[in-house]
Amino acid sequence: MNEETFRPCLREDGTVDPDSLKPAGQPWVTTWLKGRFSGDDPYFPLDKRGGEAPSSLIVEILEDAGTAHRSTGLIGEGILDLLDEARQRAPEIPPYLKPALQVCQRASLPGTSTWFTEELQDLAAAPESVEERWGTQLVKEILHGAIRQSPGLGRAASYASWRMILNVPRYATLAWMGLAQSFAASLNYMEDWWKACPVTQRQAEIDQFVFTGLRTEGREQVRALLSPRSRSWPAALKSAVDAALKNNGIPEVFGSQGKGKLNAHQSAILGAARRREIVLLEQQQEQAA
Amino acid sequence: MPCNLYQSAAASLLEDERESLATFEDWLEDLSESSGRAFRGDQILDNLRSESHLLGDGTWGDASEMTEFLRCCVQGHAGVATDQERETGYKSSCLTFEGKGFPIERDHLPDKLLRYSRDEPTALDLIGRVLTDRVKQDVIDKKISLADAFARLGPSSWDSGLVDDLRLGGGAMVFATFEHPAGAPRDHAGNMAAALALPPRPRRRKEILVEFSYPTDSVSKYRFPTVADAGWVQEFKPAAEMEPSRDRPETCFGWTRPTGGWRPQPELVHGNESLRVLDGPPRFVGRY
Repeated sequence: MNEETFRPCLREDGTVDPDSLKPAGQPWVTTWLKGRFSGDDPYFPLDKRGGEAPSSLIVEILEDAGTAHRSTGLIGEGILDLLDEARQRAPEIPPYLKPALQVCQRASLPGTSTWFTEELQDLAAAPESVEERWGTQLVKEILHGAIRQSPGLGRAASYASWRMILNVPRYATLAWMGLAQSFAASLNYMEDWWKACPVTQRQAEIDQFVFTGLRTEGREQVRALLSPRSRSWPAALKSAVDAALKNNGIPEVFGSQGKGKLNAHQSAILGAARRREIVLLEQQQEQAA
Repeated sequence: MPCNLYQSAAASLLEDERESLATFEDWLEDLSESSGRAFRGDQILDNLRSESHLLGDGTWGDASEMTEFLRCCVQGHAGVATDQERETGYKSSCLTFEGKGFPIERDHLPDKLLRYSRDEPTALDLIGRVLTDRVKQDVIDKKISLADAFARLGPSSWDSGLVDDLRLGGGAMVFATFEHPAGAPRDHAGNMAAALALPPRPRRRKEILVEFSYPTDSVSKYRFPTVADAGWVQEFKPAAEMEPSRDRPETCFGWTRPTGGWRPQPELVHGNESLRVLDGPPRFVGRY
């Protein structure tokens, strides 16, 4: 009755043994991933009651195995096959695509890097045609995956694409994260991001950026890294950063929030200038979009 | 001992189908001794034989729907060469008969339903939609925790229109529960998962549990959950073979069979819906 050629093994503790995938062969792994990501896994059935995500088990196997493991290579190649197939089927969106992207967002799969670089190039060159292919939300999922698989390091093939995507308002924040993954490096792109990001989203993104920076770098380091930007950044950006610091109970760096009180005349002029700046930026963003 | 409905359904099959059913049952029973499976076939078989609410739109005790389900199972089993194909055959039969449990009357349900989800990618999508792209990426990068991100989902920031394209669950039907007098450990993820009898998957990383709350009237097709809805999930237990009666409210919906001594929780399935039905931000119960 057991004419099967392969079945993955569980360890004694019930977890999947990455070593057991090694003899499976590429076709088996790709077929298994495609089935699981489409909701059908005969080996490790998905729990519908608790809404188990198909990608979770695969991420766990990859984290367990590590980047150099043979099984990671098999899974990476399998996912690359699925991404390529999905691109051929676009604008039809196969059910396996989103789980495949979710895996790419969470685990390093060097084999998929080229696919993400190609998507970044397409998006940089013609955002509308990429959106026609995938839809805006899926483009964002691809960018979250690209942040891990194809980050915009200075000499990376993806760098120039990320720089161009930084100018596309709806993807500016993701491009900012694609270009810089540390707090210090992020500051180098912050002014460009500020110009492109939709005005309504700026403060929320800055708040999160500062919040995370305080968590990862510490209060003194954040203040030390921000201080040198005093001369180069526009007043509105400095004000937004100060507001974010203040929200976290940290003294301002640029003194742009409570620095002296303006009289009514000064306030009116400043307010009008800011409103004008916002209108102009929104117009620019609409044209760019 | 199989329940009455199962016996009636099996008896309604043609003779050669009954032989195939016996082969199918033997195969299921054998699966429990096979290595490498994350489930036990003998428990799936026990559940199948106890299923008394797979009635479709038929009346209580009418075995027609169950007969068709068993027929579908044996057809998916016969004529294929590998265990994998047989397993896929059973899964396909279950999918075909999803949402065919006995209907649950609306007035047997409270006005609010709850669904508990372990779906971390959907939780992340929700964070990205309602908060910002950076919050989502920071959670993915483990720079902040999912609990921190959920803490920002206050009622003031909640806009269900932003999660219109996300769903309560993955299939056509989803499992749900509701508040009841016996209570539930709703503030402890591990205990709540045990009370709901969610499969204890051996994992190296912890699972999350998120609570969705929504008006009962915002969803439809309330049904008893059946083995077809549960598929290969052996922790699901079919409702006892008792005709639903207003005089015995406990017979009017399904119940979980918890682990760890927790009280059973009411259980039903209903049609899947967009997360726009939520009556407020989801609650992050915790990790376990």
